[in-house]
Order: sequence, then structure tokens, then C-alpha cells
Amino acid sequence: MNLTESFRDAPIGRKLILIGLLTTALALFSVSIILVARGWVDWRGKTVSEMESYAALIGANAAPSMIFADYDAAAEVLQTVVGNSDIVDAVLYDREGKVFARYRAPMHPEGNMPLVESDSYLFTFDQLVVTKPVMLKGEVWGTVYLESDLRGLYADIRRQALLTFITAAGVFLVTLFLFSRLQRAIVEPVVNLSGVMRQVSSKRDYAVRVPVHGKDEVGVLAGAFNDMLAQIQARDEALARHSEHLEQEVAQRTAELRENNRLLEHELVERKRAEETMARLRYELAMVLESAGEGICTMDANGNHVMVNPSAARMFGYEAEEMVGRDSHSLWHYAKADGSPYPEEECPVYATTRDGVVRRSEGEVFWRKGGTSFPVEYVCTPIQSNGAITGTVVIFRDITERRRAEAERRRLSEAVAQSMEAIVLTNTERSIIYVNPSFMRLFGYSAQEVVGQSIDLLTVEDGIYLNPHQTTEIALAQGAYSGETMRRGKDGRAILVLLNVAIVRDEHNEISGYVGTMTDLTELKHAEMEARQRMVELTHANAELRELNAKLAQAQIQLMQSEKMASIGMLAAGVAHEINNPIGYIHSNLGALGNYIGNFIGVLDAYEKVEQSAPDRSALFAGVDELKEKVDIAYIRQDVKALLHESHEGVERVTKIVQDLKDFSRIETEEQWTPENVHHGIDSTLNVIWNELKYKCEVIKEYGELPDIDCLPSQLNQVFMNLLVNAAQSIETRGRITIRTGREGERVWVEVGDTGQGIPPENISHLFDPFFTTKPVGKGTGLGLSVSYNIVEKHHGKIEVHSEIGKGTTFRVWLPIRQIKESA
Amino acid sequence: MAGASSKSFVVALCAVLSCGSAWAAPSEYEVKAAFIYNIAKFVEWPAVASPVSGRARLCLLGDDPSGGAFEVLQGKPVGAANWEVVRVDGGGSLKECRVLFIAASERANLGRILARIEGRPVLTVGDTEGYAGQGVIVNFYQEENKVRFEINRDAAGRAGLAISSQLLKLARIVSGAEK
Repeated sequence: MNLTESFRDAPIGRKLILIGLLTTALALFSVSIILVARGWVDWRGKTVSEMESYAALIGANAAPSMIFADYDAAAEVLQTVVGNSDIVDAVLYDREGKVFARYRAPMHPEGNMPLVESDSYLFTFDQLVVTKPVMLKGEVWGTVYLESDLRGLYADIRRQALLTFITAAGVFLVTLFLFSRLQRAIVEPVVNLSGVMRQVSSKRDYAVRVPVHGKDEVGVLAGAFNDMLAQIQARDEALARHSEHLEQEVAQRTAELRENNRLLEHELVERKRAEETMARLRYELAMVLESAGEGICTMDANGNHVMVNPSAARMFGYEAEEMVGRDSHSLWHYAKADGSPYPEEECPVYATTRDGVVRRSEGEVFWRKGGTSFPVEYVCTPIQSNGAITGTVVIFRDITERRRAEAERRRLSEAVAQSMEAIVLTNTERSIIYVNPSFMRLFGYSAQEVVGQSIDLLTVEDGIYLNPHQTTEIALAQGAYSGETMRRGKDGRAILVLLNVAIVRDEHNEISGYVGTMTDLTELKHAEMEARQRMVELTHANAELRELNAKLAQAQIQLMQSEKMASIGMLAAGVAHEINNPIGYIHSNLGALGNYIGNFIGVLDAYEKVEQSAPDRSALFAGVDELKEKVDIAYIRQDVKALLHESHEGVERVTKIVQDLKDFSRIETEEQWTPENVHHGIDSTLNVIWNELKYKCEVIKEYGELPDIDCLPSQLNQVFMNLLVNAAQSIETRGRITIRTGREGERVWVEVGDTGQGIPPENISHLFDPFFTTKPVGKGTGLGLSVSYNIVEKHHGKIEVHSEIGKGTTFRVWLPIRQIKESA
Repeated sequence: MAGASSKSFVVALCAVLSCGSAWAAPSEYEVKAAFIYNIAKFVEWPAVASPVSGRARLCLLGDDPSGGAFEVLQGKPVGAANWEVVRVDGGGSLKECRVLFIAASERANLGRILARIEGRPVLTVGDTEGYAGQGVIVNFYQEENKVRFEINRDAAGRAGLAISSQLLKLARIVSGAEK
């Protein structure tokens, strides 16, 4: 910092010398360094390549001696090549890295040979080491190691560097001398110039001049400075002259100002008077604007509000002050009635501002603050001043009320027009002035045909119903008429109508005519009848539904019952299957037993023959006879056969029962329609319930000739069982059950008759209802006959009952032989 | 130092030839086998002597003093060919040899043997005192317990063999021969 400052304040001459010397010194120093460095690199390169060529020479010559292990020859090669050079140590290494031959300079110490990588070089502080492979016929036989002393080389380089720097120093001194001489040519004129300037500024003497030498920059500067001095001198003189005139001029200017002042005062009075007039006019205008019902706005040429009267502000919902200065279009005219944007180009207000044409518009809307709109009718008038349009006045009226009234009127007439009732309007003379479309439909007239005609046109002359004349008279007298009557259509047809006649009054409450409304009663009558019909149908449907509901409940109960039966059947089938096996071997054993006993008896007979032919039997057979007597052998002989026979029969019977049980309860996973012998089914069932029957009744079968019929056998068996069990239960002590069968056309019948107590007639109708039973609690479910009934129905058959109290009951089941194939 | 160096040299050679007993002290004949292998590199045979199908014969004549050491060369490369070490008797097959080693036992027959191959490019080798003087081209001898060799340049010239000056530099040159 200090150094910079002292340099800045130093005289120019010294600055020049300093700059020149620094530059020169830097240049010289750089050149010297480059030269020395260059010399160093050159020497290095040269030395390395020299050493490498020595190494190559040694390699070529020593290879054979290495091959044939001739140490002396190798040493000789080293001695010859290295003898008179800077190389102080030369070694040949064999392939193992062992020393093969070595040559040392006389003063060089032994040992200390750094082994470096083959075919490379290395500079140490004062040594250069070069290694090369010994090659012969493409084979490496060893390595040459050469070490050179660099001290001599370094001394050379030092000498060279010293010389370079001395030369540079000489050049520098010469430069210094030349600079100190030459700088005076530039510095001296500058010093002269600054001396003169100091003189001018201290003494204010503008008459002195700088001597000018030559035309260089300093010469030009001196010339310009001289010119400036001359100008300053001239201006000083002019200034002195001017101040003498000044006083005179001031006096003259004051007089002029006083005259002006007087004129201004006069003007002020005039203006005040004009302003008063203006204020009065403005007040009047304001009153007009204030009291006007219409909205009035004035806009400038850009469409910005200038004035808004209170009505306008109220309609827009703004304060007048809020609107002034704002753009009218974007404030309340930005959208059309349907909400779509209203481009400025289409705006009539703007158009008037542009072309000065007065425009009227109705049906557009203006927009209030808050985004609601109202329909308006408006006029825009241009404001012109000096032939130019400076703005627009818009005067507008809210026509919402008018619109509403119009809409209401339209709605009323629409209501009349759309009414389903025929409506006719007449004047006080009862001439038709309006008919609605329903009227035209009802009576067949068009509007043109009847308007202007008398309402008497519709009269039906039958003397029963009131004619139009009479009804209007009643309306006139009582204010209104209402009643059924007949009116005639265009085609002459009499139409029964409900007629209402009312008086129409105008705005002054004077009667202006009559209005008649007529409802066609013919259709109403029809509708009433139809409704009645519908009611009857609904009642029917309801009853049917109720019945269906009951059936559904019944079906559910039956389903439960049949499931119960199915599980009992399954149980029975299981028991039957289990019994079947032991019965089987009892049966066969009984057969064998019969044979054995037959054999025993044969043997016994043979013995008796022997006994009879014996000469002295009593002595011999006394014990035997006694035994015979005791066991009653004759009886055993007879009875054993009877016993066997009975047992056999018993087993046969058990077998049959089991088989029947299986047949009866045949489990059908899916009900299968199969052709089946009905007799067989009845027999099976009898067998199953034989226990219940045998003590109470005898069973008489009177079977006819029956074909196999399509049926669900197990279900049919259930029917037979129910009938048979019921029959048995109706017999109190002992009776008879008769089973008959027969065929009649495509149907067969099975009849089960009993000699029981019979069914009271009042119960006959409930016989097939579910849960209807006359048995004591716990003895019957009341489902048997109901289930049977359904099974028979499923077979498309029927059940008939005949019963007489005290005599018995007969059920007859009818079944078709073939079932019509159903898709289900 | 010389002995150790010699040993290591043969070890290096054996690395090339893969001798059986490389790290034991190399026998005299192992060294000689290695010398023959290397000498062959410095000798140029004329083109006519090209052996049949890449085979170069190294023939051993007489009682083999090497104890099989020469077998080490079997199959080793010599130029584009490979060595084939064979024992021969005095028959006509001598002319097929590229190198013929004549044992000391043949000393008496030497003149006849050399006459048999007269003019043929056969490099005759021996290790018997005086062989070189009688016309054997390369003859090994012992000096300071080391194997050295002498070369009869005239004999080589007669056989049409060119011997590299680098090799000659290492050998004791013997001139003079029969005839």
C-alpha cells in the first residue's frame, strides 16, 4: 500500500526508469533460466544415449563369451569398450542376476552396484546408471550394467550457467544507462507545462503562455492550454462591460410587470361572475338528475363514467362515487342476458361514442354489483363539443316489472290454452270471442268457425238440460252456474258435460262477458266403470293370492313330513339289511337240520327192526323201552317234523317281511318314475303293517287285472299304508278290510274299504287338510291323508271317499297308467 | 567365483534343455552337451545339408563317455529342425549326420572316419587331445578345471561349414590337418 502510494507520487522520470528496468530484468532472467534448463536437458539426453550405445556394444560383443562361460573373454570386452570413457563401473550379469564379469575404474570403490530394472536408466546425485539386456539370436543371455560419473558433466553445466547470468547482468547495466538518458526527452516538456500551470493558478495571471516544442501529445497539450488561457482572458473583459448595462434593463422590466398585473385583476372579476352563473346551472342540472326516475350516466370518450345520477346508482347497486372513473362496459354491460360475454365491439354505447349516432335498445340487460342483472330499455346520445364526440349519455329504465306483467299475462293465457277443460269466452251479448284448444277438440269446431257466433250454437233442444241462454241468466243472477248439461258438437252429437259459467269483469268492475268451462263427462263415466271393474279384479287376485299362500304353507309341512318319512325309510332299510344276513344262515341251517333229523329217524327205524327180530327182546331192551316210554318217542317222531316245517315257514315269512320292508322303504335319492305292479306294492305294505292289522281285522283282497303303472313306488306305498292304517284304526274291536283293484280305460283304481265307525259328514270336507285328526293326541299327526292326497295329485290321480256312520268308509284311489312326460 | 558362475551357467542351460539332474553339480558331459547345443547356433550349414523332414542328427560314434548326457538334446530345436540323437557305427550312415561326436575310443580309426565324410557338411566334434590337429572341427579340452574348445578352421572350410567369428573369438584356433 505504502509502496503503491510512493510510486504514484514519484516524478514521471523515475517512474519511467523503474518500469523499463523491471521489464528488462524480467525478460533477461526468463531467457537465462530457459537457456540453462535447455542445456541441462540436452546434456542429459546426450549422456544417456551415449551410455546406451556403449551398453549395446558390450552386449553384442560379450554375448558369445557368456554363452560359453568364458569369463576372461567377457572381461576383455568390458576393458576394451569402457577403457577410456567416463564410465566408472561396468558389470555383466548372467540370466540369474549373478555377476558374470566386471570392470572398475581405478579409483572407483568396489561393491555398491544398485541393481536397476533391465533396459532402463537412472540418475542419482552424481551418477547415471544404464542397463541393457544382452541379446543374441533373439535370446536374452544377461544384462549389461553401466555406471557413469556425472561430476565432470555437472561442472560444465555450472560454468555455462554462470556465463549466461554474467552476460544478462551486463545487458541490464547498459539498459539502465540508456533509460536514464532517454527519459529526459519526454519528461522535460511535461515539467515545463506543470510549472506554468502552477504560476497561473497562484497569480491569476492569464497573460502568460507555455512554450511549445514539437507536435507530440505534450506539444498538443501545451497548445490547448494556451488557447484556454486566451479564452478566459476575453471572457473576463466582456463580463466587465455587461455589468454596466444591467441596472437600466431592470427598471424597464418592472414597468411592464405592473401593467400586466392590472390586466390580470380585471380578468379575475370577470371569471368570478361566470363561475357564479355556472354554479347555478350546475345546481339545477344536479336537481334534474337527482330527481329523475330514469338512470342517467355520462361517459367520456373512453367509456369511463363521468357522472352517475342517484337512480342509476341505486339500480346498479353502487355508490355514485364508486362508479365515477370506471369503465362502463366492464362494470355493467359485460355480458348479455344469457350470460355470454358481450364484446365491446357490439356494444351500442361504445358505438355511439364512436359514430355519434343516437341509439335505442330494449331487451338487453345491465348488471348490478354482485352479479345479478335486470332488463332495461335505454337510449344513448353522444355528447359533442366543438364538433368532436367527447362522450355519451345513457338514459335507461328498469323494465323488470313490465316484463313480469307481460310474463304473467302470457302464463295465464297459456294456462287457459293448455287446460284440459273446454273454455269459452263470450261478451255480454253472448257472442263467442275466444275458445281454447280443448273446446275445439271437444266440439269439433275450429276457432274461426265459432268466434263471432252466438254461444247458442251449442244448444241441444231436448227440453231436459238447461240451454246456454238459461245458464248465463243463472250466472248473471247468482254470480256463477255449475251443473251437468248437454251440449251439441259440430257433428250434431250431444255431449254430456259438467258446465261452469262465471261472469267476467273489466278493470272498472263492469261486466264484460262470460266464461264457460266444460268437462266432458262421457269419458269420466267410462273411467269410473273401469275403476270398479279393476276393483273386482283386484279382490279376486287377492283371494287367489291368499289361497296360494295357504298352499305354500301346506307344501312346506308336507315337505317336512316326507323328509321324516324318508329318514324312517332309511332306518327301516338299514334294519332290513342287518336282519337279512342272520336270516340267511338260519334258513339254510334249518334245511340241513331237516335232512339230519330225517337221517336220524331212518337209523332209529333200522334199530327198531333189529329190535323186533331179536329173540328175547324184553331182557335186552328193558332199559331202552323204559327210556322210550319216558320221552314219548312216537310223539317226538311226529312233532319234530311239524316243528321243522313251522320254523321253516317262520323263516320264510321273516325273509319276506324283510324283503317287503326294503321294497316299501325303497330310498330314492331322486324320485324316479318307474313302471310298477300296484299289487306288489300293496302286498309289501300289508306285510309291513301286518302287526297292526292282524289282531283287529281280516283282510280280503279282490284284485283285478292291472298293468304296471308309471309311479313313484315308495310314495305310492306310503299312500296304501296310510289308507290301510286309517282303516285299521277306524275299526274298534274287530272288522274287515277289503282291498279291491280294477282298471277303467287308461286309469286304474285301488279301493280300501273298512267296516269301521265311518266319518261324520262335517269332517269329510276337512279330511285332507293337514293336521286334521280325530284321533287322540299322540296317536296321529293329522298328516297322513294330506300327504297321501298330495302324492296322488302328483301322480295326476284323485282320491274319492264314501263314508257312512257306523257302517264304514271306502277310499278309492284313481291313478293314470301312463304319466304324461313333463319337462320338469 | 568362477566355479560358482560356471555352475549357475549350466543351471541356466539346463533350464532350457531340462536336464534330469539340474541342481546337482553338472557333469562334464552335461556341460559339453550344452556347448554342442550352443555351438550349433554359431555354425551355418549349407542348404544341401537340410535333413530329412526337420530332423537334425547328432550322431555318437564309439564308446559313449557321456553316460547318456547327450540324450538331453533329444528333440531340442536347432534352427527350423529338432535334434535327433543317434548312436552310429562306422557305416555309411555317417553322411546323414549334422553333428558327429567321435569318442576317444575311435582314436585309432579317426583317419578312416574323417575320410568317410570327406567333403560332407558334417560338424565333427571330439574331446580327445590332438583330434583338432588331425582334422576334427571342434575339440573340447580342459583348462583350469573348465571346459574349453579348439576349432580347426581349415577342416570347417573343407566341410563347407561357416563358423561365426564370435565363436572363433572364444576358441583356440588350430590350423593344419591331414592332407
